[in-house]
Amino acid sequence: MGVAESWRTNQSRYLMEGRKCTKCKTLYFPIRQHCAKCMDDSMERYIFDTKGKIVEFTRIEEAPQGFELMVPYNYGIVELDEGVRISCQIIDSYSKDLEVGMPVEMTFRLLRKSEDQGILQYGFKALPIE
Amino acid sequence: MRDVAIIGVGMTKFGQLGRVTSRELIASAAVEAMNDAGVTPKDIEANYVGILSSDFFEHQMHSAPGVPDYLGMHNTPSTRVEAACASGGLSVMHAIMAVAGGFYDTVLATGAEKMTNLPTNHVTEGLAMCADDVYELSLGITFPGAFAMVARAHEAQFGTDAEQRAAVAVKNHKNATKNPLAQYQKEITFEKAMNSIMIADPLRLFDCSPITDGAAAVVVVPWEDRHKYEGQAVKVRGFAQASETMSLHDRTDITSFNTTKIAARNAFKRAGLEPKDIDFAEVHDCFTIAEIVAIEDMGFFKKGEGGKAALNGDTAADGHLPINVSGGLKAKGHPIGATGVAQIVEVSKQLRGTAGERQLSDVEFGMTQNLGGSGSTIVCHILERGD
Ligand SMILES: [Zn+2]
Repeated sequence: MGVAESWRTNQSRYLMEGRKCTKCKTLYFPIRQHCAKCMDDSMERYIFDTKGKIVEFTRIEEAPQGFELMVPYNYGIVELDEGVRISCQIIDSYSKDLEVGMPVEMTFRLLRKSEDQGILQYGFKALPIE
Repeated sequence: MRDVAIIGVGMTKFGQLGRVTSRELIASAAVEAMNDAGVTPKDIEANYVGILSSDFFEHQMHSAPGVPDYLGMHNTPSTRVEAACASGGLSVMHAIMAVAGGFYDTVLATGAEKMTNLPTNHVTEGLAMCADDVYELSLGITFPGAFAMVARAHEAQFGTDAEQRAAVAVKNHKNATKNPLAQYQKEITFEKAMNSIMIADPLRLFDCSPITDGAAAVVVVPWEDRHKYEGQAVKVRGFAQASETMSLHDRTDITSFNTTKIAARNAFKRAGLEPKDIDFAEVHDCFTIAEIVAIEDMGFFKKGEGGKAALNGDTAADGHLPINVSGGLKAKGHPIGATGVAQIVEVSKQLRGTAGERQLSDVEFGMTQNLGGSGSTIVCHILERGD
């Protein structure tokens, strides 16, 4: 993800901003221009609530470029309260403590430093709550 | 639409192959396939090339014309097909469709990847680009991580445990000892597999396919023309492809790949066959859990029985349905773009009776399943022994 792509996608990554189809009410994350159900482009801004629960997870020990210093880290699929699924790192946790169904809250964090253009990429990670 | 035959096959040694480019590897495999078919480069009317990313691994885009260039057939149309790890299978499928549709009579389908130029973290990054770049890769996912979640979900629902997954690795390594072109020709023990380093919990090193260089090629012609060629014909009975969401997290059930179910069902329908008619299969075991899920989704085993099938020997070379007798991606190696083509090469060799030491007895129908991304693309083929 270079500078321009990072900037163009930061609404979704920074604000959990998605879209809601005004015709059929389907929610989408991240932002998209057309509803895949009714092909309508009358989409409105929708900011997802930051709460959700863990659907599945793993603990990654062999990382891609830029994540090497974080290993091992937990990564999981999260279902937001609205029913839309995303995936991200699960922070402040170890696999043995995590469980499917555990409630989490999305938080804004540094993701990694991009190797090609040196930018700091920011986005969301999930934090177990309770 | 015309029936189609595979009339020539070739593949390079798989492994760390040093100072060669992917197009040189393709040329080697293609020359073998053309010699086998009894054709020369000037007979080839079109070429398809399955390559995931010469861009990333070799800093070379537009890799399709490099193949006719290196085979001395400069003006032959050449098309690159990219579908992540299913690029090779899709390259073969496009060649088959081109001949079936009557556009060409002699087509070369190839695939390759030169992966060992880069360090492991870069290869991991390059492969992870087959996931959603912004909403998976940039957030820290890896393919072992994605399949680890599949393994956990499968274990929670069906009890598919580490021993069952290791059974796939042990079996495929054993099979590869009889494949001189395989990257690893060494048996492994359950103990070694189950104590290897963790890559993404619960998948360990021996649950994962390796980083590999290699190429494979096949020559495709009309079935009705098969006797004009020297090669021993294998009949294409069925083929199909299906797509699914880019991101694993957008699916409600990750213990199955709908794409495999759909592509297999459509390939069976085109062939007029059922899972019970298939004698053996080469499936996409990029991870041990992927083979388990594949043989369930293809209809060979009930959901939840795929791991037990490996453990109790049902899918061994001498079992009732041998799976990955070539050694699979796990032990034969997984040069991304070559993999789907190499599956066709193996099934063709088995059906011809030329698989050497690992030859299966009395096989009539063989099937392939080639997977891209986290199952976002699946390509299946069904081949029949020729006359
Ligand atoms: Zn809609």
